Amino acid sequence: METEISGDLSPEDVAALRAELPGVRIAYSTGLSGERLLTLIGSLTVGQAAKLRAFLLRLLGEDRIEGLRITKSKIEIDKVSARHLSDVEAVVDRLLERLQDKS
Amino acid sequence: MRSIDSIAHLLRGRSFAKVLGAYDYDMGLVFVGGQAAAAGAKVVVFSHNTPSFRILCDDWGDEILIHHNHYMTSFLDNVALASMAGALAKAGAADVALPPAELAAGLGRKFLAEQMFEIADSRMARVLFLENLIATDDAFRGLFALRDATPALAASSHLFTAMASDFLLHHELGHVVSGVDAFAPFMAEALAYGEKLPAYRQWLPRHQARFRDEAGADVFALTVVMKVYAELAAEPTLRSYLAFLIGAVVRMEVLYRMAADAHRANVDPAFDPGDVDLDYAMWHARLDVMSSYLDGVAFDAETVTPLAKDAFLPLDGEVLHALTGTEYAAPISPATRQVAEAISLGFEGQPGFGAVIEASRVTRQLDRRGPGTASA
Repeated sequence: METEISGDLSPEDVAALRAELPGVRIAYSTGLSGERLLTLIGSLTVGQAAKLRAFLLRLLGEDRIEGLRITKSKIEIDKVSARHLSDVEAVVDRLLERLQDKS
Repeated sequence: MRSIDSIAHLLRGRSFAKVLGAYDYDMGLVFVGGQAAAAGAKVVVFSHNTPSFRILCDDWGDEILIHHNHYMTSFLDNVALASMAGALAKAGAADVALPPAELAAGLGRKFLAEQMFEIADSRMARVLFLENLIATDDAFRGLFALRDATPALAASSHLFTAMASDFLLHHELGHVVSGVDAFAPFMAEALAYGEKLPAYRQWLPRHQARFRDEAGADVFALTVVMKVYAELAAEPTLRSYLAFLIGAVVRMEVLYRMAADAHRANVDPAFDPGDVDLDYAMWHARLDVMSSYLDGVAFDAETVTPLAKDAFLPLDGEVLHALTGTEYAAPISPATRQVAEAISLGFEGQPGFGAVIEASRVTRQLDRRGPGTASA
């Protein structure tokens, strides 16, 4: 399972998440124009899922996430703009549900 | 050269149009002695040609994958070649089919069309691409033949393209090694200049942070390229090629954003191109910081000592204005528009136009082993 999160993520965010989610491979990708993309590969325990949920909700609350996308899964959450989300918590819960399905 | 299989775990979830190779990057080539160790993780350079891919660095913590996307390098190579060949023609030393400004304008519009097509197939993307291909392809193929037959042009073009490649590569390394002490004073001075720009003061704190991050990496990359290429070129070449390079990089990035905005304006009003004005303003400010840095740095024993003289051709940045300065949607001529429209009709509602774009490419691969070592 791979999950992509794009937004105004900092290296500090990534370091904190890596510390919270040992065993999950996390790539922090950058581009010339300032693109910021976080890719998570691996399954999560229930405890790790809760930590990821708190992390994502914090970023969403700070309006720092531009999109969430799950790839290579049967049910996809398309890349969405956080500006258009009516219920960001529901999206995050669906994301984590999918991640835990594979654990 | 590494096998692609050996870095497959770093490439998961990514799709690349044309994979060209991979190699371990020797950080010691840039960072002498203990400074290499300060950078930490192992760095792999992965070469490919992928129009749709904007990411240039994947940091996995213990390994860092730097993308050498030849799609971007080729664009920079082509615009410089047009300028150099134009200078040769002006001096009566070569015949070129079109003046450099027309070649650059065609290159810019074709790039924009390709990027519109990457967003979604559309009549406008197809017509723009075809029209500019018809108008400039023969002239560009003539330039490539001229380069092959003219040692001075080949050497100059090669120098510029290697510098461009190293600039892009070291911009990303600049994010990873921004704490290296030797470069800190240069970066601090340039960033202080950037923070005084009027646009900077109008941005949100997170946008200011993004600007500082990117501009710092820009200045780092410029510093590395100056240091490495001072061993190969004289000061006028070094300064003029770098000035051309940063102008071309910024215009290339503007074209990426223009494509998104053009798609929204002409094809799909519901398409969200992001904050285009913010991106334009940020690139303008980054160009300002890089230009100021380049103009201000003194070449001497304390910084870099270029060769006393060289035989590289001059590179005039005037041609850069044509890249983004033309009315992109206007027909080049009634005849080219008519032919482009006719061919485009054949792809209406049909797949396969991507193959036309791909078939138009002329591949010229740089063999990269480290800074300043590219060969044609």
